[in-house]
Amino acid sequence: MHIIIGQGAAGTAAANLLRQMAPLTPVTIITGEQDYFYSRIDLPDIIAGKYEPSASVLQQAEDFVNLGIDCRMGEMVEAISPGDKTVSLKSGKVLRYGKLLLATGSSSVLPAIPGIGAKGVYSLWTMAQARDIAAAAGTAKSVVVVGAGLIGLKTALALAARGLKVTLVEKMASIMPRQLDSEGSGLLAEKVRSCGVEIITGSAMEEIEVSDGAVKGVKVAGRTMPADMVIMALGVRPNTELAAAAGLAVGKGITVNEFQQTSDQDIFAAGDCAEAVDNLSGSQTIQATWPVAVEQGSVAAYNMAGYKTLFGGSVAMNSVEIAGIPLVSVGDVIGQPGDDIFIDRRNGTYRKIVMRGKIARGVICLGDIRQAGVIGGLVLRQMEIENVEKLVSPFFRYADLIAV
Amino acid sequence: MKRVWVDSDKCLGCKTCELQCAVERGSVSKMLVEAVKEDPKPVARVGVFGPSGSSFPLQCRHCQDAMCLKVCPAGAMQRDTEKGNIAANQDKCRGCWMCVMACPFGCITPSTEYKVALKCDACMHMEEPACVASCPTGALVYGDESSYSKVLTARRGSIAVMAASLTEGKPSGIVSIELLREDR
Ligand SMILES: Cc1cc2nc3c(=O)[nH]c(=O)nc-3n(C[C@H](O)[C@H](O)[C@H](O)COP(=O)(O)OP(=O)(O)OC[C@H]3O[C@@H](n4cnc5c(N)ncnc54)[C@H](O)[C@@H]3O)c2cc1C
Ligand code: SF4
Ligand code: SF4
Repeated sequence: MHIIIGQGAAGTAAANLLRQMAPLTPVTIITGEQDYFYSRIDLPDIIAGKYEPSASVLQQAEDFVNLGIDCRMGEMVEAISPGDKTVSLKSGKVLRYGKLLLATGSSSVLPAIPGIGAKGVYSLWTMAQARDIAAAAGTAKSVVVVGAGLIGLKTALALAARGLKVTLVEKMASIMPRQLDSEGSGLLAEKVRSCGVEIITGSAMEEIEVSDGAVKGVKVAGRTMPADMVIMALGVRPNTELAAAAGLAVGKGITVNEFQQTSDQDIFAAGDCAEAVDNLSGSQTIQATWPVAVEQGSVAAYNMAGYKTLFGGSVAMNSVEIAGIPLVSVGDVIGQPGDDIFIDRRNGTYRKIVMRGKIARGVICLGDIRQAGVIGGLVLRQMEIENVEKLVSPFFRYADLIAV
Repeated sequence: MKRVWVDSDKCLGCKTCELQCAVERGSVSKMLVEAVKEDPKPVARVGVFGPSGSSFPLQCRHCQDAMCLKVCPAGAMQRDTEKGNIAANQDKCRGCWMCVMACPFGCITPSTEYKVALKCDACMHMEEPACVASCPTGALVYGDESSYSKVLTARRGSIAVMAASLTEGKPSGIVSIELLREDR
């Protein structure tokens, strides 16, 4: 029997593929959550009231049954013992596996600061958390969102759309520091502000002020901002505890080879919990994105079913629409000394390509993202390019690539 | 699987295919005289680009190892189980633009007005794709791989764009799409 721990993007992709590749081997997928397989990317829209939670479900219980997958929701795996090839569930059950996939994903980072355990402090990773935030937003008046990454920004905008007074606090000098340079970030911040979100950058949150066990305010740079709700969006960390306790090699995330195999040959890992080679730096990183989770889950499934398949590595990339602005960011968007920077600005759109010699290292497309996949693909494959001036123009098309 | 194949030598760059696609598949009225007045402007799913003299109509390649399909977190991008073509279901699309970021051919247009992904579905539910039917020079051919080899042997020097499939022992998806320049 194949066992998969975690029913997120990586785990579900693997389960579905295993049914196709090895239909005779039973597949069991175990998850601590209760909400089937859903898209986390929809959670801010659910908070905003744009969709019902059910609209983000991608695979229901009966879909798993129809595919012949034994799906166990609301069950936590407590331990893995690679020696006798079993996993132990919190309920006391012990299951034996032939091959095991760890697709345990990540959890929100919560710093150990005063007040973090108070009522009214939330983070957003699961549907259950989204429901709680949506419910609390019904009575709350002002909220402080800590962290201006993708999740923080989207949550801030969702709460502003519901009429709350929203303040977004970011430690770094600009918003979305991982995906944007300061110019791109400035353009975006302007739009975010016009949606009613106050942004404070370059300031770290110091403590959460509490009265009667509930949030009263947040202290930032010595100043207290009143708030009856706080969203912690400082980023995520991989869920590696199970792997570490079982004696598997763990670095930033669970260590895997190019077949998504851990240090135990019968145990695989994929998605946000696993490390991957970054094609730009050559070092191990965790991209923590949906596409990489699906890809790694699929690669793991092929290998578990006995079809040798390599994961080709990845680069940091993300696409998103924030405050009505579509944006795509791929690779190293800042660049190193000596890199050539190509920029195209025109009414509200911003395009930047970072080149090292003839190789593209990073791309930002903001406002106009057409053809972003073509340029992003060049970063991904580290192909040599002539004629870079053309590349950065909004009139560039794939045909220009093959015509040169 | 049937696809639209391109014989770039025959392309004059007249953009008739673009116009026909925009009218037939992108407009509300489905009539040219009305379509030009529509707001938002109808969007074509095929684009004729490249320097004059070597222009090239490009639409979705309906890749075997399709990146757009893999990255869609909403289940909106779907492969037709019978025909094998890939289409974006606009009811499910969330406008997250993952597919726009992932398509190495730039074949997906983000609709800024409706916030959904627009792409060629090979006019699956029609007799013949609008672009193919409209091309005055026969630069676009609709058929399976064998009908394309005919085009190739008839005219050396054509450029074909296709994507390599996932093969055993080879790197998978995220970097596996090879851009093939055939026959040069
Ligand atoms: C609000 C939000 C917006 C996002 N936006 C984007 C975006 O725009 N683009 C993008 O690429 N990515 C985005 N992401 C990130 C993306 O959702 C993740 O990268 C992806 O979900 C990772 O999938 P996964 O399968 O690796 O892990 P997860 O989805 O985290 O799934 C892991 C599952 O394993 C379960 N589990 C863990 N340990 C155990 C255990 N011991 N026993 C049983 N079950 C266990 C967990 O409960 C969880 O259900 C966003 C995430 C959020 C929350
Ligand atoms: S990746 Fe691009 S060319 Fe390939 S199927 Fe998707 S939209 Fe079409
Ligand atoms: S934009 Fe729409 S079709 Fe494209 S990946 Fe996102 S949800 Fe899927």
